[in-house]
Amino acid sequence: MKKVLSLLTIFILILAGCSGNKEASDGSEETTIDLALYSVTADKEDTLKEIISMFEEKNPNIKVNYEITPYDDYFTKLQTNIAGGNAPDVFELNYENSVTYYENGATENLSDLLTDEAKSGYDQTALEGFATADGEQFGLPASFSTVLTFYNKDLFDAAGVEYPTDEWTWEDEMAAAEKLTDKDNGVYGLVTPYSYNEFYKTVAQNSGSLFNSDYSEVTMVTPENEEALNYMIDAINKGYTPANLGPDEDTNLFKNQKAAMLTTGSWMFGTFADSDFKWDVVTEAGNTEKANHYFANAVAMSSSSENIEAAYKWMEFYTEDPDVQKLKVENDWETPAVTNKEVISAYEAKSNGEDRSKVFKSLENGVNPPIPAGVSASELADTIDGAIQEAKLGEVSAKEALEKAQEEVENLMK
Amino acid sequence: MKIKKILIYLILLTIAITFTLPFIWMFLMALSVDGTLVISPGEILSGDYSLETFKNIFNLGYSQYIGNSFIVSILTTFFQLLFAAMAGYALARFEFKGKKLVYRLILSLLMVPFIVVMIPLFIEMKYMNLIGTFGALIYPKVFSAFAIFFMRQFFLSLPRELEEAAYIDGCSTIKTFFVVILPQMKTALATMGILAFMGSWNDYLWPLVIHSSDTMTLPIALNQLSGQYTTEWNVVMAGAIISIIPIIIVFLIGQKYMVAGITNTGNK
Repeated sequence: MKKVLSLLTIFILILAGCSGNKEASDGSEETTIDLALYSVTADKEDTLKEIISMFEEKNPNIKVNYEITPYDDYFTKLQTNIAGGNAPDVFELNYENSVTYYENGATENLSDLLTDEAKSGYDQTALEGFATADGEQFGLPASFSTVLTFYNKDLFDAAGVEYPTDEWTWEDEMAAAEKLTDKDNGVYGLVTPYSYNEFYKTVAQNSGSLFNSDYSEVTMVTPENEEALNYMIDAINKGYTPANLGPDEDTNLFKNQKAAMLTTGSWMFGTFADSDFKWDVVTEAGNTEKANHYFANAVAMSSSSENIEAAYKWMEFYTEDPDVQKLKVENDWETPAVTNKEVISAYEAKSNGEDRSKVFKSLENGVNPPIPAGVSASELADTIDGAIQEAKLGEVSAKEALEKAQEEVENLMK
Repeated sequence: MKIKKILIYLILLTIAITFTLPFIWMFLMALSVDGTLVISPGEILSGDYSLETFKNIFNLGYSQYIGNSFIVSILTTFFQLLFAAMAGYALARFEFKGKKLVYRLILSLLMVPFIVVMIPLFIEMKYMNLIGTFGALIYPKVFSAFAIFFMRQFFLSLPRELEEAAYIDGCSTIKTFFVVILPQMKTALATMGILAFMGSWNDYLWPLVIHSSDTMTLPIALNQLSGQYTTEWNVVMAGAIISIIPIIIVFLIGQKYMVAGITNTGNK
């Protein structure tokens, strides 16, 4: 009997001990804000702590608690927290998922809190990425990455081809790819994934669009879109581009000097830094216009937050304060989406030879995937991806693939 | 005869290699310096290997996550066994009103996937002010319908004479249970203990939604090693190796009980 009772007592004590009392005990009017983040990986946590202590020093009445969840699972956790009425005051969102949260009313409208001065400190492309069509700001951009053309200078020299420039068009790129492709040695001229992300962007480079401007119609089957898809298929048929790429295979091809040009994101700078060949980056080739895919992360405020002022103070500090951004750059965080010259030159100075100004240059023509209301970005991507894969294998023509995509996306939007 | 034997061993060897290859590959990747995902046979011998990755993992605070995982798994296993044994005993031996109903309700819980109860459970934890604590990680997992069912089946197979002898000697019900009956259940407890420990150690969804930075368990921390755009596979693999070691140890220790336990489950 005693044994059971003591065991039960221990059990209850453990639970009680763990639950703890988190309320402030010193009586001062302290506000605590909770953050949820994913972009801070384990090796960057110390920098985050430093940023928080900088903030708490300036705002002694605000305490910042943070919680990091890995990107893959972050949205599962955030959803549960919001559904369970336990939303963090400030949470991070990427562009692709942000619309869903905005549409469901999970985010606070920041338009009134955002002063014109603060507004001008952000990169406008990135800022608009987190605003609705009628101008409601629901997130402040914290960081971005752009997709660039990485090229191997040594392979270009060996083939006697001039380095790519920002003015290159598809034609120039294909002509160069032809000369650079060396089938005997397994060298591909242009390594680029055959995927939805590439497709929507290639379409934009050809002045096409997958939807009309207010998303009321799906405009998948147009001459521009067909031409764009054919351009992608062509590169594979001619052998300039591998038909199938395994995980990490594209970057490994580039690392092993088997890819003269590679389409990938600016997050790869670090990975390629210690390569034993010369390489550089340039904005992607366009056709009728320039368009570069950019990824962006923002911080948003929960619509149920009771600490609006404190939370907003933190958001602006975290995303715009020059000292914070410089600290982030120093510790290899993702590129801050600010216009501050010092921050930008600090970022460019971190280069290992690559021209980092291209990152900002490509953002000028930045595009990101269309997200019609009520459809999740990943669902749309999977649907279109599935439809265009058949065209790659030559089973159907580009036009037929687009017709299939049209039908399936229309069903999705019903 | 000989040819037949050779053939059998060849088949077995092929199967063994097929099953161990992913493990070998995991070790190779964890040891490789740059974490190249695709290694051709030629590169296996010539590649750069070092234990650097493991060092890095511990520098990232993994000792704390390993500690958290042990706290959660050991406490969950202990209390799950205790409660399941008590409930299973009651259901197997005592006669009371509504016993069948209770038993059926518990069994029906086996059919409810965890994801269905996750959000209600989360809200419950919120009102109990337990979110982000070890309590929230352990408390809901202490009840296991399967463990109760499993224990009950074992108690049914025990001869009643054991208890009757204890009662005649003047043992109380509770003392009978702890001193006479439980020691007879070593196999069942070991089997269920291994299952509970493995389940808790590998549990993902619940710790994911309820953890805080201080109570992060190993599987969640492991996923933290992959980023939004890129993943360093050698670090992930090294983390995975660290996370399977305790499971392998527990399994090796309890293996003989476990096999005995499984073969006994059907007996009545």
